[in-house]
Amino acid sequence: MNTQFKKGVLELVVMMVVAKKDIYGYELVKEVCNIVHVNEGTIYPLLKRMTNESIFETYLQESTEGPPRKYYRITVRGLDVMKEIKREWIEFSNSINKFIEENKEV
Amino acid sequence: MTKQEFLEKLKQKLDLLTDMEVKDILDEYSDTIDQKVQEGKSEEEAVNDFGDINELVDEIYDAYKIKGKKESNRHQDAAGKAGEVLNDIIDSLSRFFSTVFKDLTVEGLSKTLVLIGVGLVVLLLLRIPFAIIEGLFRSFIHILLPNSLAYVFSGFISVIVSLIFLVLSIVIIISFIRVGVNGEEINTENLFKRPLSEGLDSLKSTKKKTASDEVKEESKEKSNASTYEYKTKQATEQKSEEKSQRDTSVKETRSSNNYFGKSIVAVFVWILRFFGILLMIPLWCAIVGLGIAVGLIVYLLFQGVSIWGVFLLVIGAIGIVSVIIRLALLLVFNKKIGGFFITMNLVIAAICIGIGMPLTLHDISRFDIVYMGTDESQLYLDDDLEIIGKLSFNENVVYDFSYSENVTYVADDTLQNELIVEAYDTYDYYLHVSDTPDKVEIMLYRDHYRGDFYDFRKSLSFTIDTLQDGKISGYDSRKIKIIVRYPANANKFEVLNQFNQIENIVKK
Repeated sequence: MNTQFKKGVLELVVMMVVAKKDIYGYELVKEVCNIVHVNEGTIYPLLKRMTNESIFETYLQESTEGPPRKYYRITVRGLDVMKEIKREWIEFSNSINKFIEENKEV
Repeated sequence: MTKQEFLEKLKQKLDLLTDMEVKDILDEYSDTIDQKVQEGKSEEEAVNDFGDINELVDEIYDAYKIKGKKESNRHQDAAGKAGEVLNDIIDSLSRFFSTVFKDLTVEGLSKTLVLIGVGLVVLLLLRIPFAIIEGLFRSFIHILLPNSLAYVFSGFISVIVSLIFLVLSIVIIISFIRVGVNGEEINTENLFKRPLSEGLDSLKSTKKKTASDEVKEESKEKSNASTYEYKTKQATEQKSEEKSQRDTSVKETRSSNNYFGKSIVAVFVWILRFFGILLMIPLWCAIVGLGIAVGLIVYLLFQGVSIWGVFLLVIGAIGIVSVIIRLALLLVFNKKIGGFFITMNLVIAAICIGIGMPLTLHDISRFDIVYMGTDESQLYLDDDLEIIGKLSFNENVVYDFSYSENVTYVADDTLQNELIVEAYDTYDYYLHVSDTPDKVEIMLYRDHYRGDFYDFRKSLSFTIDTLQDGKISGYDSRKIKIIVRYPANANKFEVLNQFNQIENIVKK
């Protein structure tokens, strides 16, 4: 899938996954990969950035399999941002789809 | 790359962040990798999922709106890549040694020692063909070039040949050690062919991007790890202790062995560096010698002798030697290299040598050796004064009148219009320079025969050589008396003026 498309919409996917339930890094990557393929090199820095921008907050939770894990939770501000981007995306993709529909012969 | 290596590298590259932040990131990534390993991936695959480490670091810094360090690696030119290859060599040596000391047994050790002894004997024998080649080069150079240049060039050749021999010896010794330690069969293929071809392969592969990135990262990380742990032994001891409490027993022995291997590696790295510095001593001598040569040439320039060809050649040589010294320092101390400066250096040096070579040949051709006529019968004439030979006057004649306390002015009423300059040396033979309005003559006279004819001829031909070659007079000027005879009725100032003019004409 084209990287340009991916980047634009990745933030939205990530926010929605975290909004569904609190989640830690690796699990999130797996979930997001079910929808669109990315690698850790893109996801983790993105998580870091969005945390720094107060879209997410993090906390540590004890785990049975090893050291404590960092979990991500979406903030109130994050929810607002997510709603906004979701709206923009729906608007954007609708107009594109409509354009393709109208020009079936091309 | 193992998880440890990956995290170590990340830790270094993220040095602009606080310790807390870095620990946070590393813990998270470590956890992710562990999970993947649990689910069946290898460490290497899990690490590769993070993608290119430099891009990862850039993205992380971007998240903090920090302009992270851009790796200058990606924009290297040939000289920079050469520096990388040299770094790789010393780093793979370190890695090799650490693997060697991991699995050593007593039997393996004794076998290795014997093999090392044999290896040294082999190297001694190998020295012979190398010495022959070196000798051939030297005599070749001495034939081609005059003495002074020949010594410079043959010095270069010796250094280069010794370097090649050293690299070869290291490769052979290592392969011998490897055969002994790994209990491999002792035959020529294992001992000689394999390491040489492997060495060539690894050099070739470092030119391809993907393989080279891995080698670069692996080897840089390893050498950084070894120096890092060498400097902070305490910290690593604590770390490995903490780790062994949490990890399984397998992991524990692995990490403690690694630590032992790594400190041995560090020692070896420093020994190699020491030898590297020793090797650079001839290079430093070369630079000093070349600097002295520049000084001499400048001095000659002020004396009126201009040898631009040799000057340019020396400048070019300085450029090349300083590049070699720079590369050697990189090899020894593992620093990053300014590829631009090295290329510029080499370019300027090449230009200087390119222009200097033909000019030097031109300089050499300017100097002729004049041999005196050797007809002995001429010397036994009765006359007090006789002309032994006439020198052809050309513009390259230089005669040093700088010792003016030896100059005597004599009014001579036999002279009409002529000014005669006579120089007497210890043999009572003298040089006569006369300047009349229509010609300048330089003649050699013999006063009367005294001393050995051959000595005289030697010193006289030396005088003539000195004049013809345009050199500074090489003999002790205090032994020379200079008498200036001028017409009795002439104005002393005019005489001085004329004398200076002769000097200037002669000095051209």
